[in-house]
Parts: sequence; C-alpha cells; structure tokens
Amino acid sequence: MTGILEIDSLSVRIGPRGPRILQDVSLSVAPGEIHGLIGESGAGKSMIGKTVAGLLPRGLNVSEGSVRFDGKELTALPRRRLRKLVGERIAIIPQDPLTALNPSRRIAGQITDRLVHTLGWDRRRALLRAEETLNEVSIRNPAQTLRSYPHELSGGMRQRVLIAAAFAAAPDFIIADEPTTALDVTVQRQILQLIRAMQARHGTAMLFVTHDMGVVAKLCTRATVLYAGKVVETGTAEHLFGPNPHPYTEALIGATPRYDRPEDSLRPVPERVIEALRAEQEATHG
Amino acid sequence: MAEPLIEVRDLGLSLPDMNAGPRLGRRPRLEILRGLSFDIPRRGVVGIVGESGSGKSTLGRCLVRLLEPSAGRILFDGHDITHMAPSELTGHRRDLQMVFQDPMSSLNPRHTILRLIAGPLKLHGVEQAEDKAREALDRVHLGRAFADRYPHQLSGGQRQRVGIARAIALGPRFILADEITSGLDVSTQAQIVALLEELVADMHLTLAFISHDLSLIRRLADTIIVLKAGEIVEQGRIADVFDAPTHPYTAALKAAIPLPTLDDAWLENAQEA
Amino acid sequence: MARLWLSGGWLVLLALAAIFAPLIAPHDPLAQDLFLEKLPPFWMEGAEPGYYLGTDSLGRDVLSRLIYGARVALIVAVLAGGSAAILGSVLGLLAGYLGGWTDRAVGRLIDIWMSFPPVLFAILLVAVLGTGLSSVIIAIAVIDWTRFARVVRAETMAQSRMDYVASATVVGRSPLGTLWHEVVPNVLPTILVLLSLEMGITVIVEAILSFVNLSVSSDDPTWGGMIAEGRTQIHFALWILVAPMVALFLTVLAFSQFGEGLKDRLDPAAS
Repeated sequence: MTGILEIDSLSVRIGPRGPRILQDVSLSVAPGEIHGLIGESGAGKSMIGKTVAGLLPRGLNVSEGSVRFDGKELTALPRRRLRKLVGERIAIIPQDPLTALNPSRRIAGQITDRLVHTLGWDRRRALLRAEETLNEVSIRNPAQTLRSYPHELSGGMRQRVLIAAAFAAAPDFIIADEPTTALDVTVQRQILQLIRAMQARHGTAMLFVTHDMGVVAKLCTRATVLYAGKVVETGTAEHLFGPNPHPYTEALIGATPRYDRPEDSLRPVPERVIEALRAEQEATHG
Repeated sequence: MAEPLIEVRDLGLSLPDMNAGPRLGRRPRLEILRGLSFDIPRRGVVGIVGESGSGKSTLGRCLVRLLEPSAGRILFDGHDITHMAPSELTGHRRDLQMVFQDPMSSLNPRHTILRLIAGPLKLHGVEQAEDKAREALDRVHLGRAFADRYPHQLSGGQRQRVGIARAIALGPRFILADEITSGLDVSTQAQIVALLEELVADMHLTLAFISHDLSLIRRLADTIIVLKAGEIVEQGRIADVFDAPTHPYTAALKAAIPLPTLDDAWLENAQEA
Repeated sequence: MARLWLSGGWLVLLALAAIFAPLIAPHDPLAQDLFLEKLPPFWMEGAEPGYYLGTDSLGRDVLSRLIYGARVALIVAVLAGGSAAILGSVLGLLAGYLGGWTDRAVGRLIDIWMSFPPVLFAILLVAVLGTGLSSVIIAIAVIDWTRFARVVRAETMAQSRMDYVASATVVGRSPLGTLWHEVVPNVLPTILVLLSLEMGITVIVEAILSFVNLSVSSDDPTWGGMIAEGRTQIHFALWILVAPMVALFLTVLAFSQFGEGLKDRLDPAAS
C-alpha cells in the first residue's frame, strides 16, 4: 500500500549530536484516512506533524530517515521549496483557536491569506470561497463572521473558522494538532463531528494528534501509538480497541476514565508494562 | 443520619462587571452564582461538574471562603462561615483545605517542597512541623528525597502530589479538589485518582471534587451537582443521576464524552448548539 | 552570564575607586596648576608623565577628578535609587495587594506625579530645597518613586492572582503575612532589576543637575560638572569633555546591563 504520506525510520535530534526526540519512526497515512497519533506528553506526537509541515522549532533537525509526501521526499527539499509545497497542499488545524488567529485582523483576511498569497487567487474569488466554506462548517451568518474580529467569536466558533480556513484551499492533507483539547466536551463533540463530516466530504487524508484514547476510538481509521519518541504500534481502530492490542495501548485505554464502568477504568499504567515496553524498544531501536 | 458537614443555602455571588458600565461610579453587577442549595454529608464525596463559565470553581472558592458570597449562607459543622473575617476564619482554616488545579501556580516557586508543606503547619503552631511534613510526603508516596527540591524540578504529577500533601498535612476534615487532574496525562491522572481514593478512605475525609469530566466524578463521588451558568440544574445520588438524568444538559454532557470504544454513530447526526 | 560579570566588574571597580579615592587618585582633584593646563592624555604628543588622562583648563588632573566624581555618582545612585525603590515599592505592593481604595489613591497619585516633566520637576525641587548633595538625593527619590510604584503594583497584582496566594489564605496565613511571605519574594527580583536601571538613571540626573550647577558645590568634582566645563574647551582640549562622558556612559550601561543580567539570573526556573 502506498500512502499519501510515508514516514520511514525518521529520527529528529536536538542539535547535531543531541538527544533524539523522535527515533526510528515509521508510519504511513493512506489516502482518505484519518490517522491518529496518540501518546502522553513527551511522546513526540506533535513533533511528527511539525516535521511534515517543516515547522520544527529552531535547533531541531531531521537526522535520519525520510518523509515522502505524494511521492516527493520532503527532507531533501530546501526550506523555501518545502514551505511552498506545504502552503499549496497541506493545511494545519492548530490546538489553540485563540492564539492561532491574529486578534487585530478580521476573519476574512485570515481565511483568504493562503488562497491569495500562496495559490494566487484574486481577492473576490477568495472571499467567495471563504464564505462558501464558512457555510459548510455550519456558521450561520458567514458574511457577518467574515467581518468579525476573533474576540467577537466563541471558542467553538473560532475553531470552526480554523477548520474552514484549513479546508478552504482544498488541501490534499491536513495535520490536526489536538484541535479540541482546549474546548468543552459538548463543543468538542460538535467539532469532531464537523471534522469527520468535512473530511468525508472532501476525502482529505488527515493526521490527527491527540492524547485522548476516546477521540481516537470515535474518529480515527487507524492510529499510531507513541512512547518516548518511538512507535509502540500502528493499527486499525478495530485492532487497537479489540482484544489484542499492544499491552501499552491496552494500559492507556485502561487508564482512561469511563462513566459506563467506573470501577474498571482509571487503572494506573502498570510498572511492568512500562518496563517491558522499554526493554522492547531497547531491543529494536538500540 | 448525622447532620451534614457543610450546608449551603441559597448561595449567590455577584461581582462588578469590569467590561461594562462607566469608569467611575457603580458598575453593573454580574451574577456568577444564583440560588445554590445543597448539603455535603460527613465523609461523603460530592462531585461538582460543569463546563467553562458554569461557576464551578467560583462555587469551590466560596466553600473554602477564598471568596465571600453575596447572598445566602454556608454552614460548616453548624458554624455560619458565610461572612467571617480572615481573623475569625483562622480557627477553621485547618479544617477547610483545598488542592488547586495548576500545581505550578499554586506552589510558590521560590520555596522548597519541605517549606511549602511545613510552613502552614508552623503557622498553626504544630510541633515538629518538618517531621510531619515528611510524613505527609510519605502519605502521598512521593518520598522524603523530594523535601529539598523546588516545584519547577518536579513533574506535573509530582507537583500535584505536593499540593495534596500540603492540604492533608494539616489534618483537615474537608478538602476541595478543583480540577486537580486536568493538566495531567491519563496515566498520571489515574495515579492521582487512586491516591485520592486511598486518602479519603484512610483519613475519613469529606471531599468536594470539581471537574469538567463526568467519568471522573462517576468514579469518585457519592453525590453529584451539575452546574450550568451559575445554577444547579440537577443534583442527586451519583448512580441515579447517571442512570436517569432528569435534565437534558446532564444527558448532553454525558453523551458528549468520547468513550474509548468503537461507535460509528457517535459522530453522526450532528446536533447544533 | 558574561554581561552580568562584565557589568558587575565595572561597577565593583568603580565602587572601589570611589571608596579608596584618596589612596588611588594620583593628584589632588582640586589642585590647580596653571602651568600644566590642558595637558593631553598619555597617548598624545605633549603629555606629561603622571597625568594619564591629561588636565583641564585650570590644570587639574582629569583622572583624579573622574575618580572623585565617581564618589558623588555612586552615593547618589545608592541613596537616591534606594530611597526611590523603598518608597515606590512599599506603595506599589500595598496598592497591588490591597486593591480597592488604596489602589485607586496610589494610582491617581502616580498619574498626577507622572504628568510633571521629571527634569523640570527636579530643577524646581532643588531650587526650593537649595543646592547640595542631599537635595539632589531627595529630589530624585521624590520624583522617581513612581517608576517603582507603577511596575511593582502591576507585578503584585499579577502575583496576587496566582493560586499560591489563594493557597496561603487557605492554609490560614494572615493577609499581611501572605504579602510578606508569598508575594514579596516573587516581586523582589523585579524590584532589584528596576533598582539597577534606576541607579543608572540617577547617575544621569545627577550629571544633568551638576551640569546646570544645581548639585554639589561647583568646586567638588562631579562628572556632570566636568562635562559642563569640558564643553567650553571642546575645540582646544576634547579629552576634558570626552573622559567624563565615557565614564558616565560606561556606568549607565553597566547598571542597565547588570539589571538585565540579574533578571535572567533570578528566574528560579532558569538556574
């Protein structure tokens, strides 16, 4: 199977000889799938998306491995070419809808920027598309929303605007970096429903970063579980939430709180699972 | 049945609205809490749930009298603490403790762990405060090696254990836990919940557990209070409320939780806010 | 780290020079010798051995005058800067922590105070108090406390909203105890950084007041006085002007760099 995104033995280091924050990561995202990236803080899940988008913080570098997007090797591209490719074909839905929008600019400009500056559309056409996309994400009064400033919108509305901005340019690939973490649960559900509906309609492949096993279960086709910068396993949702996932995956699911069986949830991850996982990673990655 | 440890009657809180009204003179007031009445039974665990803006943290801060209510009253063990001045409250402070949401900001960054826990004990004239503080570190399974470290040298879970140690060291009867696991990883959250259950059982504590997560409350609490926009929309025994929520908001909150189980229908039929 | 050591080193050197001025200075700073007037510094032609930085228009040794001038500069920096810091910080802490009418009163006072142009205010004050070092010190403290009050008030408000302040209340600390034990240690670094910057400012203000002859008596060597005198000789003996200006520049720079370095150093998470 050839995925639209193929990551092979990727390692990312701090500085030229520093510690590796991603080690030997391989995964493949098939066209049209939502691929979950799950792990606890420090597992490196956000770093994978940042590597693909060419947004690694200063001082972090790809030291080994390859990232192929639609057959093109991204790690070999000069920074400017990478930016251009990402601008044209990959979109990002960020975590914090408040800081992702410039507070002193109207929504219209922030949605059309990419269309006008990267894709070279004329302003009128871009504005029309922006309005169309806002309609698609169930914003009731698109024309008025386009004229608003971010602070005039609620958290859920802002996240809808960001989803619209991501889909407006009809990207081939979307990286969603914990897009619902800052939201209330009832809003989270609506946003997840929206992301699923938009993704299905446009057939966009997606990398969805999250720390919530529940979100993976409800949203993702497949997912990759990470621990300490290394892949624990990749599997379909049926496998991960089925009878035989990796013990660490099973432990993460067991630690998730569940109102439907309160006594049989919130189980601390057993020491031995972590020890066995470390030994296993030691053996495979050295 | 014995009388409840805490009785809350018609509690209300309003604050001046800083975003509205004239710069000088009286500002219009915002009602944060309205007409709240409930009991917290002795050695019971009450869960307080609500979304952002529901007033759950404000209610918590009224219970431990960090805020002074503007209406109604709060009885603690029969004493009316609603409008007590700081000096009058001193006698009750050891009984009314709180663990905060963000352990980084609730622990003074310039004090060592030992000082953070022993300080309050000394303040209340407890003998051998430092030994007692070390015992508290043992009780939260942190170990005495942490005594000389500073908050920023600890992980999030360890810091929250310090927050708990600080609260239990005083031997309180009531502890308010305000979203104490919301910044933690699930595996750390599970450990903190286990610790809390252990302490509540061993120390005969009465606990109010504030959370946005119904699943956590289902596990920890005996009774539940559902807050929306400063008002109680539903309260009752935990099993009853979960089995048959009477208010649509409670039902919506419950339905919005993504359980870690496969369910294609969960993302269909998008309902609008 | 380097800037903390460099700037700190310069300030220590200056302090030592000021304290031991009589031992270090090669000449009496007031001794005039009209036969030796306007001698150039040692690297220029016509220099006289022993007068490393040359002499001024009255034949007084520039280096010795610089060293004695450092005394005045540092006394003013420490006393005026310190008084402004104490006055402003106390008011700022109380306003920020207590809020309510205390805050409104202090806030208005700061607004009113800051509407006066500071240098004019200083000249006015010294004119009323009479010239002299103590007047200069009082004037600076009375004017510059607002710099501390404003920043300390804002910082105290921010710290007071932190949960560890609420936490101290929950464990039973009194309001003033909370202010002293919880808030002050976290505001203190800000105060120290401001104090360092303020000391640089006081050195400039003192120089300005000396320049217009409102500081210590005109015989006593001050950097501002030296600049005022040097200005008249600018076409004949540039070094008389340049030497005190360089000293002033380096000292003000050192104070501000020391403040910046201190800020990084005092962050508990950075060590």
